[in-house]
Amino acid sequence: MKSYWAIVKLTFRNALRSHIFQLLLLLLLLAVLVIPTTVSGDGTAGGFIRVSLLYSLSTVSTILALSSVWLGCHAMTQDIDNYQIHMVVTKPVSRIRIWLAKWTGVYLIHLLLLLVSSMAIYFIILYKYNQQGFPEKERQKIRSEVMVGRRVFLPEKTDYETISRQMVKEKIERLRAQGKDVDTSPAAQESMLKDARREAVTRDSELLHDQPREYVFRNLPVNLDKPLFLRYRPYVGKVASEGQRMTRSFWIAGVPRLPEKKDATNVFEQAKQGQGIEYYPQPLSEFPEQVMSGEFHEKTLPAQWKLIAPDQSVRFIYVNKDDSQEKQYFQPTDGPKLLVEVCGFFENYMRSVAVVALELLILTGIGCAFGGILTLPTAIFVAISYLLFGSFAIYMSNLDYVAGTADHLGQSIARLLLWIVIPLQGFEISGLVANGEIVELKYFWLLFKGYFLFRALPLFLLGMLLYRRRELGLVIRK
Amino acid sequence: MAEQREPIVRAAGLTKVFRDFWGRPKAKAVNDITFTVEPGEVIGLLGPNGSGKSTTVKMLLGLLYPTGGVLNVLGRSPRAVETKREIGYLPEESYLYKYLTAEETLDFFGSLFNLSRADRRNRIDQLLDMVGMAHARRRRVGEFSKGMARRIGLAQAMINDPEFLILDEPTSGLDPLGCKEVKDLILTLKARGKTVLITSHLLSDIEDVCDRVIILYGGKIRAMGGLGELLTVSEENRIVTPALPQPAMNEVLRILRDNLNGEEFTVDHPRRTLEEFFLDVIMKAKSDNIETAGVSGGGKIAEYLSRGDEKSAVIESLVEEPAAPITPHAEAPVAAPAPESVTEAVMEKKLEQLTEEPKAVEPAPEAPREKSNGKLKEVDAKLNDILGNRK
Repeated sequence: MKSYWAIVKLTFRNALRSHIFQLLLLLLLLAVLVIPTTVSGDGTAGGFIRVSLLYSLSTVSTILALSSVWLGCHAMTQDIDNYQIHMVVTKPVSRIRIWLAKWTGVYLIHLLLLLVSSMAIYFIILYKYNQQGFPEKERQKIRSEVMVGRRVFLPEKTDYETISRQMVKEKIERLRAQGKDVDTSPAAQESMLKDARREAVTRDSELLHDQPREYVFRNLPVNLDKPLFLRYRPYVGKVASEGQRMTRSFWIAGVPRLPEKKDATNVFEQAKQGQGIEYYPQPLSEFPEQVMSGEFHEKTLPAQWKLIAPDQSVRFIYVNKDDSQEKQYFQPTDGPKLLVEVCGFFENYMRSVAVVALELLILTGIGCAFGGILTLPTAIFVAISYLLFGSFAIYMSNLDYVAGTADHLGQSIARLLLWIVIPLQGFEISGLVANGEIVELKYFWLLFKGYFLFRALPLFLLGMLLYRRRELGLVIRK
Repeated sequence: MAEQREPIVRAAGLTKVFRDFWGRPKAKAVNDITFTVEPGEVIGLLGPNGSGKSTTVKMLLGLLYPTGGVLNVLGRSPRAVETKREIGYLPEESYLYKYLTAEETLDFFGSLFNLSRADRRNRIDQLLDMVGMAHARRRRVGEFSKGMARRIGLAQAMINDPEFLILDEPTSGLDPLGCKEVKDLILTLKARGKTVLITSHLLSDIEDVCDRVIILYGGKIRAMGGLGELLTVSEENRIVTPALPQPAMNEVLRILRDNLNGEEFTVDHPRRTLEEFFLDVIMKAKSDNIETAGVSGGGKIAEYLSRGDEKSAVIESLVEEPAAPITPHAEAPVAAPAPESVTEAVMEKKLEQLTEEPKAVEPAPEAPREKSNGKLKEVDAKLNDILGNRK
């Protein structure tokens, strides 16, 4: 192991001498010191914390991601290009060990930087937060909404596929009833389905004035002794950041209650025992509340309200009470969401750091895998292309709806590519931490299993194998 | 009877073809060569640029893979990690990490052999002393001159006390003093039974230390054998004596004229080589304690490299001797009596041999040459001084 750690140490020292790494290090330092100290957010405590966390963590993880790919490639290629590797591989050290030691060296330096930067960000934000004179009520709010790790529950998904097919069917029947010709060619059907789906999604996010909309959340813990938080962001008129104004919203919770226990006088009554949960409406406010559209709002629902039904579900009804009777919208990504506190802020913050650390482990490995068999510029190009393919592939395959041969072909290729490429979007978790949403351990495991074990590791093994077989004496210094 | 040992290197039909991107043959750098390197010998690999020397060395080190033939180093594949445990390698240029100090460099390479910290420290001290770089142990290698870096390169090649040392142009970039020290070191290693393979363009260096040479050209072996058998001109004689009084000289000349039947011959005073003269000057300067920022105080063979070797003590005493001339075909010296003890009878015998037919003089075989008495060699040198070199 002495030889292993000697190479790790040398790689570590070598990294510090790379000019590009030094530049990235400077940027990192600026990101860590400047962003949290200059960001003011929207003037609220929540805004300040959210924006500081979001910007700082994203910037740090982006810089370290770039640096790890660069340094992974550089650490492997530099030794080969200037023949220093001849001095190392002629010693009793296997090539696999050299590869692993270099990977470890590059990774350790990034891990160290990540830990130092994330700790610096954490303490700078806390310091700034404590220094600013936010009212106690707002501080309390931020403690329960942002500086916390909360599990997120989304409402039941609408089955757009079935709805849009039903809509197409109805439309065709309607047209036929009117005696009109209906084009039943696959292309026309596809086009109708596409339009119907778009309409279904729009309808689902639309909230008509005074029309109640029910949201059902499932799989909540029944005996929860902590408050629930209902988070939502209504838009007025259109889903856009501009042109938003004050509007009114009205939430009603469904308080579950089992039917009163009666003596089962016959088999029918007996069968009904324990079934048929009834919900009693419990308005969350006395009157429709005035809220700013286009911004997130949260409602705290105390544990003693016992909103979680025995079947682990919670129901809410939302009513659009806009003064101008305009339509309101909920973006599908915004929810509404139901949140339950699971852990403290520090733990959640460290979980997000762990996700970034996993990302860096994969990226340094990718850099080393390509750097071990290619020249520096080619290795960088291939590594970046690989990662870009990953990002495009996940985007294409996640598209809810595609139409046309080209789209289908693109989506098929994207799905095939996803067997081997690694989309980095999965590691973007700064938004979660900034919103006080928990980084689930299950999610971390999924990333580890899906991206590290099944995609990155085979790539690394291939890189090691090719590096082991490579004739290093063939490299000619230009 | 001596135990039959496995050759250190066994190459049979060794071939290396370089190919282009599409796998088409581009150049045949090494073309079906067969040779062995026996344990304890110093062998020189010679040849002009592009003759296949470096390719052969790279194959021995596992940096290139043979296209054809068999290559075994220390009985194993050159790519095996175990093989490398017993190899020391000094590349043509010192591919060292410029930001490491001399000490850190040796420590790093020592760690690659999994040497303990104490072992590393001990060997580093001795090696730095040996290559005359102890005073610069905390200076970065990047600040060194080529010769200084070369010395560190040499030190790293010996950090593991290797069985088989591959030295690519070991004296390149070194001053004559450094060259002498390197050659002395090679002889010390040889005396310890180590095997050394040297490639060099400086043929005099090869001649000074090698037992055998392999001459490559166009990827093929053009000549191979012991230096004695390759270089001795058996058709001619050379006698060196102390300066003779005129009557003795006249007598010698008369004998020569009578015996050579009108053939031309030359009698003159021998000249010292520039290397000998230079070393003499430097040794004198050293003895005057003149300061230098460069290499200083080298030449003392590391203890762990000469440990358990009786001959090495003699070598060190010779190394420390100021301006000791390096004789061609130098071998591991053995205890040599002082020149004063040479009897006149020996000298007379030598003179008598001069009058014999040239055919009678056979090239000295390698093994007896190694065993020859150092004392006799010095007598030979004296005779040379007296009689001059015969062309």
